[in-house]
Amino acid sequence: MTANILFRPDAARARGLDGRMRTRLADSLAYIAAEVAGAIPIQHEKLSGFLQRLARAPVSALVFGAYFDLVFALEAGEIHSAAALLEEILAAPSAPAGLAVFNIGDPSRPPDGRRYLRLINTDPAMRLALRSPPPDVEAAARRRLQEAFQLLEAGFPDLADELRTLIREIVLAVNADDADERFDGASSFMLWGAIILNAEASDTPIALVEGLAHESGHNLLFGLCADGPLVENDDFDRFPSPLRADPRPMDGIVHATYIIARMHQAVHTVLNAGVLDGEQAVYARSSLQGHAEAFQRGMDTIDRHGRLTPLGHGLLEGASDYMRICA
Amino acid sequence: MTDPEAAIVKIRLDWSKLLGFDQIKTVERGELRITDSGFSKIGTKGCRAKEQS
Repeated sequence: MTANILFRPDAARARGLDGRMRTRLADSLAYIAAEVAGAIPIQHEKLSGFLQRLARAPVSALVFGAYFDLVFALEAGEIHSAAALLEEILAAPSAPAGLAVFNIGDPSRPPDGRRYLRLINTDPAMRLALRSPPPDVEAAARRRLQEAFQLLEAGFPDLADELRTLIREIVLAVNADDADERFDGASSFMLWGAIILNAEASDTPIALVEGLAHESGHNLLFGLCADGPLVENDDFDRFPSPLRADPRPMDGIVHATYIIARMHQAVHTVLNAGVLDGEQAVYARSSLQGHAEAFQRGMDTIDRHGRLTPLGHGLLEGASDYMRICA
Repeated sequence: MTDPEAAIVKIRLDWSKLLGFDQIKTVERGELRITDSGFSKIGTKGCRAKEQS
């Protein structure tokens, strides 16, 4: 039963995870500043000011992204790029309160779109080609997002609260015309607090509820595993995915399987709350069946090949308990 | 030794002290490429369609 409790959405836990990620970022930046002194002039007042802001309040996902770009630049020996990135980070303000929604090519936020796209493209075998949504597509996606949050607030307020705590930025994009692969959503450890959604996917609010539960689930797992992995499998071994056609590392299988249960939980709870209209209720019932089957596929693969850490085991135990009771 | 004017300056960071890098086990230095689980091009519809095809 404890495991099942751990599977429930929890805004207080999300706040704790955000605080830990910010502490880890602060420690990492302080270490880097000490290491690069002499090669990069460090403005200690700016460093101190930024670390104080970071301790007090969340920052944009792009600040985390800039930190990863900084480490990549230092690893590549690109000292001038590293100096510019450090300056950018230290000048970053606290994130505005509330959830921001914008498109990936928003000209008021350069060079953000490029950084979002680059840092979600972590799989060299499957490149995402994205562009900004046309204005009418973006407007429709914004309306659906409002409706999806209204559904959650009426039918699953705990998830709505957790989402608003975990996610500060929803970035809307569409597939580029020459894209090889369809994308529905993406998230990255390197962009803590952001999710990228396809503005043309999830054409109903309940489908978007699933998408939000899915992508925010990745962020939840990123936060939970910031200090230790979910699995001990070799990073380069690949296994069949319950969601994707391409084989994935075991870490990805665990993510997918946990998140399938989370999508089931979101749809099941909203459906049972009686807040869906007839058409969306039909979709929800059909979707629940698909999630139950996909969860079992994921668990079969994990049971056969997964070498779980205690953290990974505990998280999946919670998801399994939930599915056993509710699916 | 580092030279602020040089285009390439080698600073060897201790990854165990860096958020996001402290769990990397198998990636060689110089070939840094994060392939973390965060990438989730799920396509709840698209990928199912591909799997059926």
